Amino acid sequence: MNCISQQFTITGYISDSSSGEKLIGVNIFEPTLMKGTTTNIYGFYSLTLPAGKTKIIFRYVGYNPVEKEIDANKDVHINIALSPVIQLKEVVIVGNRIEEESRMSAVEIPIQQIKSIPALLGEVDVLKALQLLPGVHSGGEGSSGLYVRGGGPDQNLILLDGAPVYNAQHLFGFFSVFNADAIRSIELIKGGFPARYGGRLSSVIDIYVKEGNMKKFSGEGTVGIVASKMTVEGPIKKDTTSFLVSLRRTYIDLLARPFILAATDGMGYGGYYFYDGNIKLNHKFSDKDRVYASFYGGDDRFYVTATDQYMSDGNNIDFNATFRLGWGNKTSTLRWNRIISKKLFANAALTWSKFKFYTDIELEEIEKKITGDVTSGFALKYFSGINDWAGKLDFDYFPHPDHFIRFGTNYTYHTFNTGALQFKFTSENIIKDTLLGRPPTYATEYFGYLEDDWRINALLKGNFGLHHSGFFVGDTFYYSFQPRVSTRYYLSEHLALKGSFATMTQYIHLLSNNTAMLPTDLWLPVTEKVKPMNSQQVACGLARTLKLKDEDFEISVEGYYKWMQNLIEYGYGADFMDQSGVWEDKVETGKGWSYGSELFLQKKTGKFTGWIGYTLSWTWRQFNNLNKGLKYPYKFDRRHDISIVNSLKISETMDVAATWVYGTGNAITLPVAQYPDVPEFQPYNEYFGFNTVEYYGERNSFRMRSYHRLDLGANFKHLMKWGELWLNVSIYNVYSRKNPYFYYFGYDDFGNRQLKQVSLFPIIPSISFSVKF
Amino acid sequence: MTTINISILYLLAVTIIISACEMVVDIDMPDHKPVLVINSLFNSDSIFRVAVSHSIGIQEDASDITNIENATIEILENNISLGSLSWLPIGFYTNPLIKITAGASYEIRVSAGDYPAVTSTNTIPLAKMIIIKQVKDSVKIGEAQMEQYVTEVTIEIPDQAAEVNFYAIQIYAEDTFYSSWDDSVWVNSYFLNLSTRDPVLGQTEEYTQMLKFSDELFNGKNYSAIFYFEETDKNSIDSVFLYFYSLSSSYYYYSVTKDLYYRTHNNPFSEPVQVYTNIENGLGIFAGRCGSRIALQY
Repeated sequence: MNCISQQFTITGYISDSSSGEKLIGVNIFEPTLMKGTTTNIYGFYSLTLPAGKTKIIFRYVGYNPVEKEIDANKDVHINIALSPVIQLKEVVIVGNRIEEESRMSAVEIPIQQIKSIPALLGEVDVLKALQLLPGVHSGGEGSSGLYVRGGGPDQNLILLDGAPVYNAQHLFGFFSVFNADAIRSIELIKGGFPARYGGRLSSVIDIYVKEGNMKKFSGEGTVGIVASKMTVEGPIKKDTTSFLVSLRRTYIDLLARPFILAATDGMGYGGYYFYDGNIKLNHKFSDKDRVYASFYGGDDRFYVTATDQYMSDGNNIDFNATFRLGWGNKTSTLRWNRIISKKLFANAALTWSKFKFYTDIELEEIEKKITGDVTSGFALKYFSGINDWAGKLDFDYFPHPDHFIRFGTNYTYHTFNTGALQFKFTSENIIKDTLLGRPPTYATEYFGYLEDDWRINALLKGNFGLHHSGFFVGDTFYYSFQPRVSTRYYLSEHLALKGSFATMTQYIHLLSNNTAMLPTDLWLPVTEKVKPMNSQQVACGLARTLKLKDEDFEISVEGYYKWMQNLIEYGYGADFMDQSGVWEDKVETGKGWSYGSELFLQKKTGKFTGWIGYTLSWTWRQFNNLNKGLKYPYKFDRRHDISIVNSLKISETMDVAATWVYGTGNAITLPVAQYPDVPEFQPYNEYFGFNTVEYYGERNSFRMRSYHRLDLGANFKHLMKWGELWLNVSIYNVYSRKNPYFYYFGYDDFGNRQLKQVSLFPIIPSISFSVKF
Repeated sequence: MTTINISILYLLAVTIIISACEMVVDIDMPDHKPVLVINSLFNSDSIFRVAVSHSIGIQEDASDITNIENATIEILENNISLGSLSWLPIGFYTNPLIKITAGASYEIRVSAGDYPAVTSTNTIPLAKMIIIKQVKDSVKIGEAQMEQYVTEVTIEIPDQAAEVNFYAIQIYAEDTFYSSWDDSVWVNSYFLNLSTRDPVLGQTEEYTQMLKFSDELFNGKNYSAIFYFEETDKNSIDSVFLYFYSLSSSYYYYSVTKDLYYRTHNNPFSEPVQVYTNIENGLGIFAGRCGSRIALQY
């Protein structure tokens, strides 16, 4: 009798009992043999065990564990629905212990925990929640940019249902494009990257939208100070097909419009708004086949419209002028999951992702002549962006409880629109339509990967993988092989030593001004002159779960060192407003490195949840043609970064939350002296003195004031017959700390030169109302 | 309450809570020890004009900067002393006996009071000959309502290999007029606005309307460059001249960084620009160029 005949395989999906949402990372194990596995990102699992009577435990953070007695001699398919824990009860659940996993430098924050964090203007933001994690810095006051372990904002791979999002910011970064009500899960990976990810140097932010409730109709809506949003989900056919629709829009422009119209006698109005929406459909053809379709669309728009009427040469003339500026992302994913065999799971996906920035101005005159209306006009439009089509094939193979093998491939066709101008001119007899500018650049990128999550023995487990990628643009071809290793070794029952090594390659650059990330920033492919960026990162650390008074606390300490090559930065004086010339000539190429340690103490369950994060880090850059070739601190080099995030459920109808953050001030370059310029155009005179220029010290050799802020929030729930009514009260920056946004040298009333700081947000109270049904 | 009143209240509330605020920051600026500032841009076949002053700390009053009138300035040509420069009360030092020659290497040595002595050297390049291939009047550039009529100039630059060369182009117009007030004839010279679509020629400097570029992209080859200058009323001017300069590297880097400095100064979202300096132990610029003047016929 061979081994195979003595074994059976149990497969299935694990979902939330109330919504039918698939659960990612659920731990499935057999306690006697200590064999187990976890669900993949689609909630699927496969576990092969010796035949006979056995007990299997299914456990997941925030859910009651389930135990199943199975007496099997043949393969079985068991779908499990886990029920969420009611928090106020005595909670005795065992989550997926941090020390069990071989991966490191990865954090998942439950979406409910994110929603309890006090938010700027009451608008919950998933990216801002990530900024509160160790190793992650925000760019500056109010920004939703992410700077992970010394990397830039362009080095983050942000995936929404598998499709890349190129500009995840609304309103110049004050809000992110992700509506927390529509999000199912969010995971941040800072290092030890699994081989299935690639294309960016510093982080992966993998976000999944809810699949839609398979059991019943439900929804939630919020009315806040700046935006309102509504999410509805439910079954189209129970347990077979579900949908989710989520919409959000700001309305400051709508409220302001009557005021502006009154002020302009109805001749014009303008405003700003952003909106976004998610739509998802989920259909289960059978236990083996499921299809998902997911769409995201969002836009930011500034607009000004003016009208006028006047007489010219005895004729009435209607004049209309419109100015628009906008940017937005669109992504869509069509995904098919198939259980090919009891040990092989497949995911095929087609994704489309588009980011577009545009600005246009239109002027139109309609002359009312006796012979008829004569229209003349002028239109000017600038647009840029990136457009991706991608096909993806992933396989999850479960050959043995000690192995979880993933392999797959991805092919992406990029279209880079690097800035084009369109003129349109209309007069009585002439219509001209001209397109100027740089033509689009087309590129193809592929990767393939293989990784094995291998339990080598009871103490040692590792994730070993290889990622290979290539990039074709014009006549240029780049490729790379990127080994990835991540290991865990048990030092004791609850204490694990972890280590990882990962190399990453990035083939696209974001041409961005160093001090601001704006929608005008251009995504550009590598060229013959500007090479791909590379990084190598090593990390090691300790992880354990502490049990204090029956409560679990996860604690991890990590140290890392990251090297980065072929980084680009604008040269001296390059300005984001200047779109002329060849972009390669405006950038400098250099290297960077960062190192530091991170402490993370997290409590995920119980009445009191939250975390404390602390980062001690150094980040350097060195470019031959900047700062005389000497190394200098990266702008977002922060020696200390602390975040304390707490949420307390006081009663079934009330919870409170507090967040405090502290960060060393950003590095900046300041002038240290001034001296007369060549008196070529303004010689010295007794009235104006000399025309002076400023002399700068070393690049980024000064520090802004430190950043710190306390936010408070409280949620009050009122139970109704039809659902729940929530009131949220938040106070952002409780002690009104004037945090630095930028510095400049100005003058006081007596003409004395002073260094001045501009801050954005003082104390900001906000209130919002939500309904859930 | 009307919709407008609600809107006003709402706008007021939002404006108040998100309005920017400003504060004075105390920052430990390092003490600045003043150094000598030497400013001298010079042309071949002319004489030196050297301004000497000093630097001050960034938070000091710029009106505290003064000319230094008691400096000792020595000029050396190819390591041989040519003599010293004398102060002129119009703001610079000069010596009418020292003529500047193309191809020569000059060194300046300046000392004054307690300031550290400074030096700088610069070699003036030799004049480069160019060929005017075509001057075409009334050429339309731009599209739709941005179109304009200009004069197009095509030149050929025979570049020498094995050396890095820096060039500059300016267009001057001259017109002569008679002043009845003092019964004299005046020549009015002014530069005309320049533009180009050629990325090799770069951007026009805002104040001097100068195109400056290096031969990095056409080293050792004959390069045909096209640029445009503003159309002029031929009846009101006597002549139009093209000035073609060979710049020393210091002159070029100073011009480029200074142009960038003024373009981006006070923009908080732009990386700061360090204006190029080649004064050892001090600040400023000591750099020369060699130019040729060509009358344009069209």
